[in-house]
Amino acid sequence: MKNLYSNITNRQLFLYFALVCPAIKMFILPASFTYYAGNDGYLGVIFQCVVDLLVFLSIYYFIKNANANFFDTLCSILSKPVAKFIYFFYAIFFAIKCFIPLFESILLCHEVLYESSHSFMYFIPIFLVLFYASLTGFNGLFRVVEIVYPFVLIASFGLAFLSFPSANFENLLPVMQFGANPILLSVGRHLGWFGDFAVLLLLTDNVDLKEKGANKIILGYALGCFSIILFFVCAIAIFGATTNTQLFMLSKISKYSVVFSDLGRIDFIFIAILFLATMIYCLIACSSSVKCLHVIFKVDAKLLALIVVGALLIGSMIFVHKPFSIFSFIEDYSLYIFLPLQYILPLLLPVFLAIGKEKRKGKLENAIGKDNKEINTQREIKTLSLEGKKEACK
Amino acid sequence: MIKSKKFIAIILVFAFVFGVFLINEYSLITADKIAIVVGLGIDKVEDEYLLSAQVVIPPSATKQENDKTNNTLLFSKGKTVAETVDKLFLGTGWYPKLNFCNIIVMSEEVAKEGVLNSLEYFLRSEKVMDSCILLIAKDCLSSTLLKASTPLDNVSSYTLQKILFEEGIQTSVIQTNIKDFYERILSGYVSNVVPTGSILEKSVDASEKDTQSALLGQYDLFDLTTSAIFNADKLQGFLDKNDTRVYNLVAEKSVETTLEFTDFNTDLNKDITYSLQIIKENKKIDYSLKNNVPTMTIDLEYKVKMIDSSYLEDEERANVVSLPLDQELLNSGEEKITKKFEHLFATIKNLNCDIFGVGKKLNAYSHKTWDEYINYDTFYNYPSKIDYQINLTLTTLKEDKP
Repeated sequence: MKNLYSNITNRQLFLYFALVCPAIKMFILPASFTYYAGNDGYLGVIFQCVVDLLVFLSIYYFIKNANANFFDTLCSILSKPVAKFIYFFYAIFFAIKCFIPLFESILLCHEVLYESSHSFMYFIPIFLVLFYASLTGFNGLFRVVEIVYPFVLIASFGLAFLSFPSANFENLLPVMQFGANPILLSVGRHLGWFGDFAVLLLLTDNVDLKEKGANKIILGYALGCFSIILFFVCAIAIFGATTNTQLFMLSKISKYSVVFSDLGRIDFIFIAILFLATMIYCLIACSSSVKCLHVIFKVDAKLLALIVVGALLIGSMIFVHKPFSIFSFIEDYSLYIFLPLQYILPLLLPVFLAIGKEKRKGKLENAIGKDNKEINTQREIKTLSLEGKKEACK
Repeated sequence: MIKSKKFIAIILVFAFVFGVFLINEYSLITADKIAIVVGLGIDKVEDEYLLSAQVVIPPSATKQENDKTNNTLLFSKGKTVAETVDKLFLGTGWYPKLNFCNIIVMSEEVAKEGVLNSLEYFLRSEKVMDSCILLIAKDCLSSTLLKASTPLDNVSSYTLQKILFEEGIQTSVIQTNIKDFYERILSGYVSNVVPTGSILEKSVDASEKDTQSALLGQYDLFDLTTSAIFNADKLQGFLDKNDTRVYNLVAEKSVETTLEFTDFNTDLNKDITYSLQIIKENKKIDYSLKNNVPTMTIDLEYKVKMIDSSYLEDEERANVVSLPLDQELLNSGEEKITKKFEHLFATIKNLNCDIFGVGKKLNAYSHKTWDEYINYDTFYNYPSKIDYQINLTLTTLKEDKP
């Protein structure tokens, strides 16, 4: 696991939040989100992005002011066993974070790209890559982001270019016809697709977030948010009331382009590139899960990677023929799985810092107090012995 | 040691991936087993669906004599459309490739019963493009339309698609795809307009076998200039050629549309015929709830050009470059087009259809007032209460002025 602790540049993080994170929100999420929020789905995404940004500011404050990493801070505040317990949940959390886009990609391949259902064996190479990537560490994975970003950028523009002409923006009206409740319900059920900053908690040692670096990340995330909001707006504008029936939005949003009548489905080139971006997200999430386990158990990373990837493989194989049961499970328990680890804990980090400072201050004072006492007793002993000597002389 | 371990790992991964490919279970069906379905027809016969599939087999590269694409019409019956699709290819052994099916034709009977009953399969399936266009076969079975062949194409569904998609003739025909149809139903406000297709009566006497015109007479020509209107997914009635064109003037771009006028009585007591082409349009449509009545006000201003007329005598015609267009003709034109609009409005009100989506617009732009107005018990009756107002102005280009 030595490479896990290599540095990650702010440019890499900028590209990750701007181009990789939006890609995972383009599969099932638009249909699922608009099922509850209707044509106001994009407002829910805006709300979610703002909350995520607050989480980043909290993590940024922590990274800037803390002397220790996330795990050590948890250890010092909550004790080591509790910290290990939390990290264990983070390992499951990141495994689910990896599972969602990975499973969506598998389903898209299964339903859209192939004529008839085929052997699951064809997806096994993806799991081999996941296993390998879990051992290479974050540095290499974030460098891959740098390599693929021009392609992802072109693909995103390409899809937007093909989709826009078929959009009817009147479908976005009326705004908030049924109030804020459906939007909040939808947000609450889809937390698993957001909260991308959680990965930064594991990278506190690896990133150097000076002011410019934070600005870069915020800019990257803002760009990512803009692209995903645009995607949602476009999807609702194109499909209107039928948006919630369009399961694999990524493969559908651009298909009404007139270009295809002459050239065929050229958008599949762009879709394939966005697949690649999704895979990078899965690799980073899987690596995060393995890292959490490694911090807890301190055993061979290969074994831990094998456990995580094996669980993902078995999960995918079980649910590939009844996918909606797993998605409804994730949505039903979204608040319990994601809210504490994705929002509550990161938002409490400044409080942890303050408590940590208080504790350190108390310890320091105690230490100083002890030192003073010792000095005084030594002084007393010295004076007593001097007085004794004087009396003896007399 | 480490190097040899890596080498073994690479060999194992390679062997695994290679092995997976050697299993020969690619789920990719070879081209010689795929039947490319280019058009589907749905009819109802004795309470069962009759599915007609137009299948094309690409011509062989070595085949020289007849290089036209072969096409065949296959039939099957079933209680549901999904069953008919399954049955259709069980008998032939060819795998149905539905991705290239760009047109679905339905008979009037199926449309009256409710289009969604038969469309549901296509909406749920990922195998069919929901951009595929809908067509209602009028006065004939859908299979009759698919069987027909025109002088230029022997695959009828290609011809139908060309007519519906070709720029230039779009102002005379309607385009509706499955997705739009379904979206309008789900949105709950807009009635659907779907093109109807029929085969024109052969104008040439086929008994004249030796002449070229007789050869043309062996083929069919389609008429797609009329349309069917739906309330929810049920067929309510038809719009004739004029109504369809007038609908397009409002709903689509009208530039390059040609308007024909007959029986214009001149001062000399001579009836003339003339055609005006729209060069430029200025369209303003307003939706409001005036006095608690949903109102659609259409302000249209067309710049027109005369492109043909029987106005001039032959000797006069030879001396003019551009046909003159006087105010009298324009006024008469305005009057006649307005009457056509009024005819369309009366038709759709009678059929209780909101083909212009007045309800949807009012809900979108003045949601509160619309919500107060609409009575959800009689929701589907609101189209008959809509008040349509049309203000039309025809002006001419400077060079056409007398």
